[in-house]
Amino acid sequence: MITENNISEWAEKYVQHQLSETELAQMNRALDADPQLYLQWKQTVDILRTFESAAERQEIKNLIQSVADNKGEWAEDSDAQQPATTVIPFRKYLRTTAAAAGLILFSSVTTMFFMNKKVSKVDEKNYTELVRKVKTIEASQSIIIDSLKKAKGEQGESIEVDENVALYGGTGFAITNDGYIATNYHVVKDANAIYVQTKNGKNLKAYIVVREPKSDLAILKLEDKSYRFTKGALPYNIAKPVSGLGQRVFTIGYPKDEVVYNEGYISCENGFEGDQHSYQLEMTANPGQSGSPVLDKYGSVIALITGKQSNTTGTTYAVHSDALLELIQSLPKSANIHLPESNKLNKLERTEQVRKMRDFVFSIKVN
Amino acid sequence: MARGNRDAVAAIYKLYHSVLTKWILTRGGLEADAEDVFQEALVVLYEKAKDPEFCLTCKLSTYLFAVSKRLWFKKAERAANYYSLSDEEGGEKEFGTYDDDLQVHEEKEMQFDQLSKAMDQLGEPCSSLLKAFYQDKKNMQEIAELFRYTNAENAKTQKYKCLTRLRKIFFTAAVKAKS
Repeated sequence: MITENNISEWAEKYVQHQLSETELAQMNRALDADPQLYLQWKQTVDILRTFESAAERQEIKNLIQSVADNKGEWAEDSDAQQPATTVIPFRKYLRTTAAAAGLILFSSVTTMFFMNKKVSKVDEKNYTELVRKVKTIEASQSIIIDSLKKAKGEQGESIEVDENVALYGGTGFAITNDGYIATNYHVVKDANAIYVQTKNGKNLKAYIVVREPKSDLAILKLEDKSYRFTKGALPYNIAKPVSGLGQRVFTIGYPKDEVVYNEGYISCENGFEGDQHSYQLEMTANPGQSGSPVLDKYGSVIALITGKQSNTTGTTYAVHSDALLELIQSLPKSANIHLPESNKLNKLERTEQVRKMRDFVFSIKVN
Repeated sequence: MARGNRDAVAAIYKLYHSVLTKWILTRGGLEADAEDVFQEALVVLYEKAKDPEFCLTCKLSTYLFAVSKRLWFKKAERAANYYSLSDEEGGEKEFGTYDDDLQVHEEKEMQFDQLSKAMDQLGEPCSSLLKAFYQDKKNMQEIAELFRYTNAENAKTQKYKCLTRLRKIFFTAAVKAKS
């Protein structure tokens, strides 16, 4: 009889291939009949297998370590001298790099100083213009917080009876697998309730974890603690961009209830009014795309769309991803945020990248 | 190398040790770090080599370098505690191809970690008993003598009892960790 009390023994014999055919059959019958028993058996087998691999790994580690210790087997003469010579050059370089860094810092500070003087003069001349622009960018930014009801009505679509009628819409994307989402501050700032629409169409409630009006960022968390976006890790990472001007980028977002893809390039390394924390992109973006992630061709998120130039089409502004990273860093350790580190989108075709990415970009509805 | 051949390991050391160590030292690492990274890379290589389907499509050196660099970056990131890609020649992106291997390696590490924590929770004599059997590969007779059990059969029964306890500890802990 196979019971909970002797399941360990059966599991071990199984792993060691010590069961006869009849015994194996008997065990399988018992396991099929009792799922609880099966679970205990499986768990024991897992532990035993883990013991095995741990032992194997230890063996190979010991082997490697003993080879390492026995330099006679592999060290070349130059190797023996290496330790002495490599340490000193490192220190030498430290001094020169420190000097170079100081010089660069000094020259960049002076340049900035002069540049600032120049820029402010230009500012004064075009002062009113700039103000106008600011006003329009604010207006366009608020337009970007789309009115869903209005859009739906205009297109003559039947409006879904949703008991929680949303008034504004934006976009957000997952930054961890367990429910943290990044979006724009202006999308959620006056929200009473925030809903995130997942890929199966469900609207999940979310709350604001932190907001940063200066960079127009906000981080949300799903209220459902057990919800996971996917089985493994997120397939993209958040990166400081490797290249700047001219970098080809793409985005996916929700200017309507369906996900929309756009692509473009970085047209200016600074954003609106010389904002050094945003990019200017040449890419179509429409109301509703606030908070959409901007990815480079390697599949790393490099920016978040915040607004667009209202008197042109195609000039979009997006805040740098390092502002997002800084914001995440400022969260307490208890938030336990582990950002995606590896990037699985790297070598894929664009259509593949989008296909993988779209599960993690959500329509955010706010009322 | 898959068979744990000592000469193979020595050969690899001879070929790649100095280059890789130099590389890490120039990026602000210490000799001890370089040694650790190199050895860990060898472990990854070895475990991958055991996989019957493993057939290097690139040169051994490329694989070793890529894995070592990845391990080094992970180490450096943890030390510096901020996320940044190296300003390499854009080379960082290539390493994405070996991510899966590294992830498997890391997941295994985590599993081992969890197992040893569970073992600690188990306490004595179970912890030592299980270690003696599964790690040190002693047989039941030796264990019976060591732990002063009446005979090998008794030792075996004890072992299974300990295993059951370990299973309970390990899997409740794992469930807690996930949620």
